[in-house]
Amino acid sequence: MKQLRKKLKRWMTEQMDLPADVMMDLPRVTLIGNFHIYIENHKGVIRFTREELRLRLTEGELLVVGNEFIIKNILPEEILLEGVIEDIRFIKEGSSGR
Amino acid sequence: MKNQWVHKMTGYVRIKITGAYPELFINRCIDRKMNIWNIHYVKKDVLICSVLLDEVSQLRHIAKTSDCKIKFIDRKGFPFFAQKMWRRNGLIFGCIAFFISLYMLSNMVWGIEIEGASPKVEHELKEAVTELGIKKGALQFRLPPPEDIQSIITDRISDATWIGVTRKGTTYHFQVVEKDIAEREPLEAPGHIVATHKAIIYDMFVEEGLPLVEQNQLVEKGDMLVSGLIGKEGKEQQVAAKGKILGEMWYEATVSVPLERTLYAVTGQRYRTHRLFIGKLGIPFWGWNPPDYSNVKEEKYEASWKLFGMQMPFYYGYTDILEAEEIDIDSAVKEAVGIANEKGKEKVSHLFSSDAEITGEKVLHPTVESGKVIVTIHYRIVDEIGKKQPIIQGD
Repeated sequence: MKQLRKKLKRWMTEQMDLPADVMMDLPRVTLIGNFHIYIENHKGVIRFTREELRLRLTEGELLVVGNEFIIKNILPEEILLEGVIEDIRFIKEGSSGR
Repeated sequence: MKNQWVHKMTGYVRIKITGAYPELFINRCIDRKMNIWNIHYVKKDVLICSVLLDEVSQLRHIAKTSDCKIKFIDRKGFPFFAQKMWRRNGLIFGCIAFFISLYMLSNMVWGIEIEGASPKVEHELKEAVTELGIKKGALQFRLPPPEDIQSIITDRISDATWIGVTRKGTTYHFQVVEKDIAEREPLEAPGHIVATHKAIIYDMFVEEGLPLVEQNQLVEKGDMLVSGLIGKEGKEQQVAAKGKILGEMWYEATVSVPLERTLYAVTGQRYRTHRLFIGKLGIPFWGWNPPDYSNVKEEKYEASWKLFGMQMPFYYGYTDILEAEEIDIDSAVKEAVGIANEKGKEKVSHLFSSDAEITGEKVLHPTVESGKVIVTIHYRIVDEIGKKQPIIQGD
């Protein structure tokens, strides 16, 4: 049932030319240079240190690696991270990450 | 995202979260839709973040459920600032008191200026004004506006035609125009107008009386010009004759000018030699080669240097050597005549009234006599010649 709905959504997005992040509940990531990263549609913080931010997504996780991280602002679905960003990585559900 | 200043207005606190999994605490906060920002990672299991003051009460509960300990490390924003200021309330009260007193003092009357009034009116005005409450130290907003003051005071003071009231800052300015009752001219005794000089009538304007002469008529000294008796013969009325009679007169002035004065004239060429004096001895130190002028005039200058009122033994001086030019006798005489003319005019103007006008002058032949130029100048002068003379009864 869940699989079917997902397929339907994907099909609708493709056919009706709708933005993917709205339809499919995907994260939208905005980068400003390498010092600001703005992530919408996250599902919570898993891990936050000075060098790493790990966010839960609808499917899998998002890993941001860098230096001097500060969470400037955090809201239920948005997060603004400041620092020197070196790497952004999507991690599939179940895998260990690194 | 909210603006930072909103937080500053409502106040916020910095808290330290210590626990095995502080991210959980943050997630819980977000789930409750709390504002949380500026999250720093300090070390393992320790985070620092900012939380709004209104939401602090919820923190304890969240901390309990997420197995964390929280510690308040800083208080920021307006409520805390106000609290801090309140501790120094003397300063605040001082500031407020200062502004209030500044406002009050600048709204007080500090000066009353009265202009254009005689001492009597000034005194009256001062009393009236004081009655209205305008005095030093009175508050301006308890006084009527200047326009009202003006009408009240103008009504009260009968000796003034108009009193202008203006307020300039803290000063009230009263401009008084006093009633000026025109004085009547004193009645003059009836009389004639007679001539003071032998003259030709140049112009006449008779206000009152019967004119007896015409323009261009020659009159002798003492002749009656305007009669004070008017009306039919036998029924004459006596009036004070009044008028202006201008007569043309002649005057011959003889002026002598010494000729020596004009013999030399400086050409404008000059040379300066500088000297330093010690005592009476002059040591030249600049200007060694004075040019060769055929005629020379010298001008000396000596400075006197004083120190504490004592004459200094040495001082500075210079000598100007001016080139002079001999003027030939003809032009010397011409110049002398010019000088004589000036002198003559001066001499003449003393003899007549200040309204006198010199209408013509003629230089008669100048004669040179023992180093003097004697010039005779003929002047034609227009001046008032009328003089009042009372009518003597039975005359």
